[in-house]
Amino acid sequence: MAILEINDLVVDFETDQGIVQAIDHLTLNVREGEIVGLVGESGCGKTTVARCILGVIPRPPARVRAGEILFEGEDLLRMSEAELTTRIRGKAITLIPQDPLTALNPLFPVGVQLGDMLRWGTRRRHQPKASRERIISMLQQVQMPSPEAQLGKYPHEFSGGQRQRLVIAAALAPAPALIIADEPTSALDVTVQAQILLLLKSLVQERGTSVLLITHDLGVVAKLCDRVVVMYAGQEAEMAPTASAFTHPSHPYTWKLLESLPERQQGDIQGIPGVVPPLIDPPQGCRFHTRCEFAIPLCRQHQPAALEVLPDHWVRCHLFPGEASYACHA
Amino acid sequence: MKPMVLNTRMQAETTAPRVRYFPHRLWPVPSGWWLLGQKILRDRLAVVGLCILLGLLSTAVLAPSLAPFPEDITATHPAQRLRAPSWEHPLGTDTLGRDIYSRLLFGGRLTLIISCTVVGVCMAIGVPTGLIAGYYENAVSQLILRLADIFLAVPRVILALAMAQALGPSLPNLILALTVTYWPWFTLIVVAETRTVKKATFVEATEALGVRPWRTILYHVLPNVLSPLIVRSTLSMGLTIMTAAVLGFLGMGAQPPAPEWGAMIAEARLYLPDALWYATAPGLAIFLVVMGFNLLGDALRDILDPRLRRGRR
Amino acid sequence: MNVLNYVAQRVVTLIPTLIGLVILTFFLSRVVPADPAALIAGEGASRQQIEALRQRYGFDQPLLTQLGIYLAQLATGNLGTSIYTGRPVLTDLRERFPATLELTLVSIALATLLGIPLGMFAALKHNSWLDHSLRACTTAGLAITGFWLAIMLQLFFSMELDLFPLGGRIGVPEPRALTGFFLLDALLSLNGTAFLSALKHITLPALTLAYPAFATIARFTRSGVLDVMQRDFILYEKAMGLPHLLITFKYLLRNALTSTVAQIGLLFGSLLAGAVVTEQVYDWPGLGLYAVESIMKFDYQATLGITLWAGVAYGAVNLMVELAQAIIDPRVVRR
Repeated sequence: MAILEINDLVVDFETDQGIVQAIDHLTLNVREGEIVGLVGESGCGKTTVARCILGVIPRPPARVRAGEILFEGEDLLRMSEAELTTRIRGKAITLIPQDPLTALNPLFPVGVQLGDMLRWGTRRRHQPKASRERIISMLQQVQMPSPEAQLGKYPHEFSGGQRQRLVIAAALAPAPALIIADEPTSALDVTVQAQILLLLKSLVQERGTSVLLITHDLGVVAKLCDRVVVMYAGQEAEMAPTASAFTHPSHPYTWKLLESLPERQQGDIQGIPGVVPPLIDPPQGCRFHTRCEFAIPLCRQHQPAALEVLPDHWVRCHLFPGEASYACHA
Repeated sequence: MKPMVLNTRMQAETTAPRVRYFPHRLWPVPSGWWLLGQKILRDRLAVVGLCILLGLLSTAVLAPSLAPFPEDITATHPAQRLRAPSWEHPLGTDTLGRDIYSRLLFGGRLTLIISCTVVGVCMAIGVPTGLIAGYYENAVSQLILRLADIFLAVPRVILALAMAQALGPSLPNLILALTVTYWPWFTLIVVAETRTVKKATFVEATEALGVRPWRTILYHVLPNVLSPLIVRSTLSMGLTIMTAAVLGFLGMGAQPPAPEWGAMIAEARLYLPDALWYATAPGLAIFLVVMGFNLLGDALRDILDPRLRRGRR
Repeated sequence: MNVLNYVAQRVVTLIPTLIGLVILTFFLSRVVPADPAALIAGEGASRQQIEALRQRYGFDQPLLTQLGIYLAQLATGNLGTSIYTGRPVLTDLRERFPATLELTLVSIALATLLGIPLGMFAALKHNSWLDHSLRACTTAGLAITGFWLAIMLQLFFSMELDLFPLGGRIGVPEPRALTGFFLLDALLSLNGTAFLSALKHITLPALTLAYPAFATIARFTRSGVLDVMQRDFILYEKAMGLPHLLITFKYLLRNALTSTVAQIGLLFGSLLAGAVVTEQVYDWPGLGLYAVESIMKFDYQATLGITLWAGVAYGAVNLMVELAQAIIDPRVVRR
């Protein structure tokens, strides 16, 4: 049932100042037909995960040290570049980029770009005419007015919301199994955000496409996602169905995140004290323990293992005693 | 890009005029000469360039002691003309029997004088005119820009040549001609940088706070303009040297017996292919010096102005 | 259409610049400490001869009147008469233009055909031996003075190895004048000996001019490609499965070449105005040589003429470059 499985992924970056341990034993999955939100602060590694899945992360300076990324059973990390290009990227897995203004090539009309992506992005290369028609139909579905006229325009001639629709159309056109949406609305006004998100949700549900939605906005998660993965400093802290995560936040970080939403507070607004630790020299044990008010000595020594505390609700925290914790005590 | 230092004293402008200002930087600049020096030394090519330039400087200063035949600037020894390189004359002798190596060393002085003067004067002209033309948008600014455009419309060599010819061939006239030829470059660079800095929000802020324009220009705009200007100046030193050599080759500029490198090549031409060391040596000297400036300029650019990276990563 | 407006605008701003140029050159050439008539007459001329010359060329009139006369002449398309050759300056220019144009075209073509691909590959194979050697090569290319390179090439290839001629444009009778380009004319009239001779004669001058041009073009291409390689749209295109070759040669290249195109234009413009010293060294009968000769001989009309021509050529080429950029980058014009 899981269309995408990331198991125990470890990714390092070599920099001038040292080795940044960007992703540390990350485990998550996306099942068929569901929308999974990947939430976390800036710099926690969300975009790195997306790039690793598609294999577009530059190999130096990045190094995948361990783990596997299984897509429909095959390990993407061990696939050759040629295979990834011909079978996966733009075909089975597509991307909705963060900022369509910079993601679209400014010197080419959008019709050309979308056309190329579609022609090279299906299991069988379409003829130019057929792909043009397909794009126009797709643009209609994302509610773009007069699609034929838009094909000749350049990216800078569109508004932000329209550009987002363009890249959504590009992502859906090849009928992929999985879409990775990298903060699809952070470049937009709040009013347009809602429109775009609803559009995305309806299109995706129609087709039964799975989505890995990367965002830092809990509101978006609440509206769209079936399940949510909370990431902190390169690790997953909690992975649960949305409702369960919001009503029973188990990891202290998740709990603090929800608490720090302005809507939930009165008087002075409080965030989470402290800062994200530098990943060049990450703290021993649980990476959140430096800011956690519930930290116990065990947190400083050992990394917690993932534990299922509620149905399909997984947490990585020593506060939930599991076999690993007992083993450490003993 | 985070600024290195924030200006926090602006409100004191209206009450205590004699306050030190900390310029607000648009992009990080290594604070202090020490850091700059360290960064330069880390780059191998920059070190090469620096060595070449230090070599030029030292030979220029120490020429009288380094040259085996310092009197050969003026003295002639017709009996020894066109000798091939030997221990006595490391680079051979020229058509009047003078030691080429010694003349080359003294020629280095000339080159340094010419290029430093020209670039110095151009900066002295370019910075004020550029700041004014870039910051203000009035008739004066338009006039300056038009003037620069006009001067730039002619290819450098033709302009320099016409000027030198009109004024008469001599060293001061050469410097004047080169200055007239190159000043628009400097002005336009300063104008471009000033405009960029002017767009930055902190300039708007100073204006809103009531800081008088000249203060803004002097204390806030100028420091940000200087870094790119220094980079381009280093690179234009090379250009100046090359143009000076061209003019020397054509007979303008310092007159014989002055050991100008370009003029030496012109003399040498008549004696090819036999006396090939005669033509090769000054050319190599020019090449090395210009390389030195270019390498240093490239390194400075990478350090001081990361937006301008061209050809280096 | 927007583009036409754009062009018209730029042409209009060019004209005052050119007029300013003429005025500038005029005063420049008259600001001679010595007596212009005496300079032209040369040494050993009698006072009457000098006086006659002075009257003939109008040097006895006030400076502004002289300027006025010249501008009036200019308005009718008359660039005056060369004091040295005795013919209208316009005729002189027209006669010499093809030689310079041919040399310019060959040099720029050479520099571009080598510079762009090499610059691109150096960027794509960043920090490889190709990259490093190209950087060394181009750094050297920017530091070499044209005339010295010319002399060195003459020394080795002409004098020592006797592979190429020392100078001039052709060694056998000229081919039938169809276009004015010897290479083309020789091909068109199937004149093998002329073609070969013209080719041999153009090789060294073209190499001399092409090397520094190549250095600039390769550098700008390299840095352009390096810069664009990092941009978001390249990553997006790759993530969406576009083949590597397609991304590189279609999407990357166009973005990377915008600054290079500007540089090629600048180089073209400056060569078209006359590669002064190179033409002198190789005795190439083009505008550059004409410029040197006119300036050295105090030929005022010719100097003014060639300076004006240089300004026009430069301005026109710059205009074409801006046009090209406006076409390539749609963000430029639509304002």
